[in-house]
Amino acid sequence: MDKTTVLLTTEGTYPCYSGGVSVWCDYLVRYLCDIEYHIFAITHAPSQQARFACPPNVTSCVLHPMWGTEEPGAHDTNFSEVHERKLRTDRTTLLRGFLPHFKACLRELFNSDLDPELLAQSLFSLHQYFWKHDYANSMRSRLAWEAFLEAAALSGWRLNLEEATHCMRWVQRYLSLLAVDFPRVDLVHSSMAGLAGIPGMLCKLGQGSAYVLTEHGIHMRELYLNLSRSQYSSRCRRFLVGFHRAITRMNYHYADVVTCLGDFNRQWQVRFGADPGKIRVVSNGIDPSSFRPRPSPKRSRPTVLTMARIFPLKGIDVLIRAAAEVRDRVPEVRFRVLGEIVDQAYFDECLRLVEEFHLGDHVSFGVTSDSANAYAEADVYCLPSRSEGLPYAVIEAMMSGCPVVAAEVGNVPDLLGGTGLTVTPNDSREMAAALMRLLSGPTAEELRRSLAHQALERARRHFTINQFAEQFEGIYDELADAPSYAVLSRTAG
Amino acid sequence: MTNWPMRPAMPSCLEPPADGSPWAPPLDSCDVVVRLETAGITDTVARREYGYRNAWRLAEACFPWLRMFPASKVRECRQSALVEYLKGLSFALPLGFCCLAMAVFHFSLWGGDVSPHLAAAVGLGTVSSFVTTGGVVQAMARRGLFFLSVQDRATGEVVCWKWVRLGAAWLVICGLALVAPCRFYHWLPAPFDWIAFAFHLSLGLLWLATGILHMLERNLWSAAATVVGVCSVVLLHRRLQVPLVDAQLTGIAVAAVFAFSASFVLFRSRRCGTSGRPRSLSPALDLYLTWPHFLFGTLYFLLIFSDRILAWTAPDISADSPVQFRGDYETALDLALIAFVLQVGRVRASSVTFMRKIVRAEKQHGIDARSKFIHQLRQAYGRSTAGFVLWGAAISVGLYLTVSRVGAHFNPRSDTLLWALVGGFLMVIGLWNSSLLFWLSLPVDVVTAIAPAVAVDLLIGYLMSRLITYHYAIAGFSSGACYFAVLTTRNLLRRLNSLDYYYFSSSI
Amino acid sequence: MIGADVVNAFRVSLGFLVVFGALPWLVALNSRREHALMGHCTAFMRTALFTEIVTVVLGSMGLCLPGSVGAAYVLFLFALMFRSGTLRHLRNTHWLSAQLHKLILLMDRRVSAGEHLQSLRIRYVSWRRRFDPTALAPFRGICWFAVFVAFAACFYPLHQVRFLHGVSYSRTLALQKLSLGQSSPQDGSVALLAPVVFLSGCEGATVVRFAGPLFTAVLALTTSLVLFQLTGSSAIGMVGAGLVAGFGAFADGGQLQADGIASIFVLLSILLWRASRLDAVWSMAAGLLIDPIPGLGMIWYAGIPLVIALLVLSCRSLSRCLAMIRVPIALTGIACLIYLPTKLGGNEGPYQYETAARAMSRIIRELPQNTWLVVSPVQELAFTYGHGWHMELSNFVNKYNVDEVIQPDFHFGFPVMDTFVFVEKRPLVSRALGLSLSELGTRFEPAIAPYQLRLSRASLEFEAGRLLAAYRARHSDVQVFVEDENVIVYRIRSSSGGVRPWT
Repeated sequence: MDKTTVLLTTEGTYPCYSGGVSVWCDYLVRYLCDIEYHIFAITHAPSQQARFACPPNVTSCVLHPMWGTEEPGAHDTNFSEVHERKLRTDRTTLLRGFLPHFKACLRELFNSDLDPELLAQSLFSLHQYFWKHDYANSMRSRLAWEAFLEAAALSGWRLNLEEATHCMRWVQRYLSLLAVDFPRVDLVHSSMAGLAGIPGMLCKLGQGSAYVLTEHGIHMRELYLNLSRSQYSSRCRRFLVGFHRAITRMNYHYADVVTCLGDFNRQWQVRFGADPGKIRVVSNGIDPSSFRPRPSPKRSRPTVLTMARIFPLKGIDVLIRAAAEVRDRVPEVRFRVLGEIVDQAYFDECLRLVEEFHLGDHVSFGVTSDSANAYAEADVYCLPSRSEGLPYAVIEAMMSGCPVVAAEVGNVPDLLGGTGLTVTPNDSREMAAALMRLLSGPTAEELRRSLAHQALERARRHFTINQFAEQFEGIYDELADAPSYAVLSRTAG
Repeated sequence: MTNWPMRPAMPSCLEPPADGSPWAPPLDSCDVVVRLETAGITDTVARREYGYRNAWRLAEACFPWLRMFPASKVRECRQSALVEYLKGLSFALPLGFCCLAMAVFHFSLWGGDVSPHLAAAVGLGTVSSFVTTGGVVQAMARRGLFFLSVQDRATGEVVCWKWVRLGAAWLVICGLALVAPCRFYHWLPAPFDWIAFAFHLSLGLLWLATGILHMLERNLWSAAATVVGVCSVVLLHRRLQVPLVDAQLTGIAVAAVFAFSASFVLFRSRRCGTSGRPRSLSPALDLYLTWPHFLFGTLYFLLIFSDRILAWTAPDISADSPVQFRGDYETALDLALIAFVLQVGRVRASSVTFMRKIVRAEKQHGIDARSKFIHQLRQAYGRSTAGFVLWGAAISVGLYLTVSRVGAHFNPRSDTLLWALVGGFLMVIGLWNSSLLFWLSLPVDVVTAIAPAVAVDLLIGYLMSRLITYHYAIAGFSSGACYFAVLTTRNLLRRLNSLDYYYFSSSI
Repeated sequence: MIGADVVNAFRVSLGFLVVFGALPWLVALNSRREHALMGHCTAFMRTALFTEIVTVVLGSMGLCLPGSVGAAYVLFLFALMFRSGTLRHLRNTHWLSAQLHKLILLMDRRVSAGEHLQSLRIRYVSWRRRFDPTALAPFRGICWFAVFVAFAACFYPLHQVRFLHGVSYSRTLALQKLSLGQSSPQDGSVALLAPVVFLSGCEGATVVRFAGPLFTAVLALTTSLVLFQLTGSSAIGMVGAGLVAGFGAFADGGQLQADGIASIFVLLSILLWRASRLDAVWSMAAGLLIDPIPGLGMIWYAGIPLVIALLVLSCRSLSRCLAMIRVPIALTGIACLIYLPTKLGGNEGPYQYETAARAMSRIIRELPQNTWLVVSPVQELAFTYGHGWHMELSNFVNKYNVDEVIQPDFHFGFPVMDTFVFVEKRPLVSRALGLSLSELGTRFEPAIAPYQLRLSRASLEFEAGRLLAAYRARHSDVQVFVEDENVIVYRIRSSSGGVRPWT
């Protein structure tokens, strides 16, 4: 029997970046070893290299940089093929083959009352056009620019020229996915509802492939967060939000199954247009043999562990402020923060806080390649994040028999299910109080042991890798047997 | 009595920060909810502390008030026009040090008080090194600057060294291709043809190295390399009594090694840990992207130096070789070079200013006011060009009068100097237009202007130098520069009619 | 030095082949032609006519220089290519894009050297197939004979530097002036050679020396082609070529002069008459430009093939007889070219001693330009012009006297590094001396008179010898540069002043 082929699409994660989503993807491709995977990863820049080694069942791994290229698609194909397409792209083909579909696409993008099928149709038509014609020459043409301005004006968007330049630039970059030739697969599994979902829609319309959409963090939510710190004008941000919302709605519409990590995410998905009937909760899982309680060495100092990459959403500054309070009550306490630095300026701010609170002997930063042992050496695991989905670090801590103190964000309360202490996000005092409950006092040790045991039981019951793999395997089998979507013919653009 | 809605008790995390860090008003209530949740205000907290059913309700209540807050101002980091002008002049620092050395020691990194044959050999080698490496440096800068601008420093470094290797190979090929006819036609007696080749090769490598430093905007390092080279020459020639030619070749090699080392160190120091491995690059793509720049670089130096070649090769029945270095001609050109350098520094400052004006004008004009936007910028261009004309005229006239009064020691020919000043002034106009065309990613427009200019330079320079005397070869340069200025102005004005589109397509 | 002469012969041949071989080939490629042979002949004629006109016009303006002539050729070819439509592609941006695409494909696929060579070989084979081997068969023998004529005619110039005809000296001087960009009265017979001077890098004397044999070969080839066209027999063509070669050896010593060169174009006009009357007229015009006043030489050269053709056409048996003896006639022609010039030249003279000519070549080769002065009679002027300075022996003798030169502190004071004084121990006497020397036609006519009269020349040489002997007796800066039984060349080194280029 032929193996099921799956195109796994990612954006800013696996296999080039570390993080929870990357770990999830790695587990997926490793533990579903009967599935033949093709990886399509959207990266930020062409210089990104894969950090995760692909297992044997991964047949191909294509990295598509969104930025940093002069010719979209030129880095991974022979340039002669690109040039051949350029020669075929003249004014006549632009007028006949490109412009009508591009205008239709723009109409939907500017339209607040979007019709996802119209948008998908126009994108698919453009995708067909780009099989034979050049993407850069088309999207950079004067006709495209004029069409964009016209669409903006007709939709009542009063952009200034700078805003129009920014917005069209984004369109040009984001839609470069349309120029990619995707392999023939049975199913597309997207790890995000944003741009990474476009291949799913295209393969569904073009090949009749099934489409599964999994969301970890909610794409729109993270977009709002990033935009709140940006310096673009409100119209530009509104355009960007509208663009991504349109793409997200389209992806929700075409996905056969939408999975999420918990109720928290589910609410957001419904709010952004997902059909509740399609949504299924599939929790993350880890391998219990890799993470298990180990006999811990005698420690002279109580240790609080945090495993997180260093950037503002991980709330390390909150942890440091809490550490100052805990240190006053538990002078020998030690806080270990293990994770790579993503935001250097934020890390510098954390170091400044450490110095301000004189925590040099109490707070240390580093990285580790043996996270299992790190949990064994810790008395408490602390998650100070401001925003999370279903963090692997907490599951690992639970599976390793380490009691957890976590901010009440995302699906963390569902994850802990009462087997850990939850605190208000951003509240260092409450966090300090929770930590002190587990580190000092006559009942601290008993409480730690009890919570650890309960967390371990819960993790083994609900968050193992086998359960994770079985659930997705079930979804794949179900979709593979379902009748395929009506396939639109692959005609010349 | 009117019922104004009461402003709700807003969480402080929603308000603009007091420290002035970047902040933008929310776009919709979803945005507000995200901000609330990130600040730790969950449904529970919203209920408990603010009296709303959940965070969404709180967000809906706060949103109408928040959207009235202004966004934080974007602080523009600008350098003054004077600093930009000085940066624009900085490329001439090495030249300045060479001139100083010439004045003090009567020799420099190349050139000096030498025999006519040697002067001709050094001159030929110098000109050929510029013409050969001009295109390579432009192509290298084109690719290197792109990778540096997208923070891909690893690839930028790899690309630069690749072009340096290509440039070195190209130097050898062109040098040998020039030595062959030199020997065949006895343009220079042996061993002066090989001396010319040695200067061609060594100076070419130095230009490649300083090209990297110029691309990295480290012209002070180029100046330092020149100083190191000159010191080596002084040490070898004056102290160790090494013959001048050998000392100069060694000094140039030392300067080139210094400049390459500085480039290497600068590249390594700029690489941050997460820059990734360098990507593999398609040579075909390199060709496609850089051929106009390569052509421009080569033709530019041909335009600048053709008149010298024509002057040196003007027939003279009393000359003892077909190529004769003309000291008086060179003196006039060197004096005019001072005016050229002082004018060309303005190109960078004006280009930066013009680009800022474009950005500002784009902010001020809506998509329905494009014609006003274009009109405004055409006027800005006209004003800048008028500034160039006035500045150039002032510098040229000032220099001419100064030389006439106090420059008797140099004894330049006044007509040659006059032509050179006019040519330099026109060349600067052409470079100003070219700079804008390059900024708008329209290099082909520059190439289509400079190619016919070179043809005009060669034609008129040839006729004038052969029909009158070699002193009038400079008329070719002036004519070529004039044609270059006219064509680039025409091309730019045509493109300015759709400036919004070209600005967009150049900034992707 | 035979080695240097071979190199010079090679250089001149290279220049000659480019100007009269490669350029006409390029012209032929871009011209409409019904018949390949006529096309090439027309192209050769047009190129030569263009060269003649351009160099004459540029020469009159003082612009006959490598750059101008090169630019003229480029424009000429460009105009032809434009007219023939070869350049139409350059206006087609799609075609240009396609060429760029081919280059991109090449770079992307990085064709190996082996594959590249293979594709070149395939192109060469397909190009070869365009030519019909049977159609070329009659011309093979004629072409080979022309090559042998060229080699044979080069025998004399490879061994002797001096010219056998007085007019060669004036042609050399005219060519030097022309190629140095000087405005001067034009000699049509040397205008053709100006581009050869530029391309070969040799001086006028060498080009005239070796161009003669090459033109002889071209004349032989043209003669045989005319006879082939008129009689339809390549054998008769070879007979005519052999006779013309022999006559050329007898009349000009293998050094074709203006009349011989002009004859080439007269014969071409006959050849082209049937194909294109206009081209025939142009060819005749080219001949007249080269030699405006046709003389006996032209009549002989053009007449031989016409006479042979008439005879052959009127008498078939004669045709068969001539065809049978074509090889002996051809070989006789070759032998004449090798043997006769040396014989006619005699041991020395009539215009210059071989020793003097060789000394002149050596001075030009070894010393830098314009750093030396030659004091000699007028015939050395053709060699020195543009390379160094020349002073008439008569002026030298009139200026200095023995009493003056024997003073210990006397110096000649010439502002050069070396001065060479050519003294004929045996003043040149030949049967053609009196009139022939006047054919030299230099600017220094006033100086010629003393050389024309035998006694005047002898007394000048004697006086010059006395002066130098007296100077040498009292000064150490003079040495003998070259000496044999006929000529002695003194070299006087300057101890002060002069140009020193070698620092």
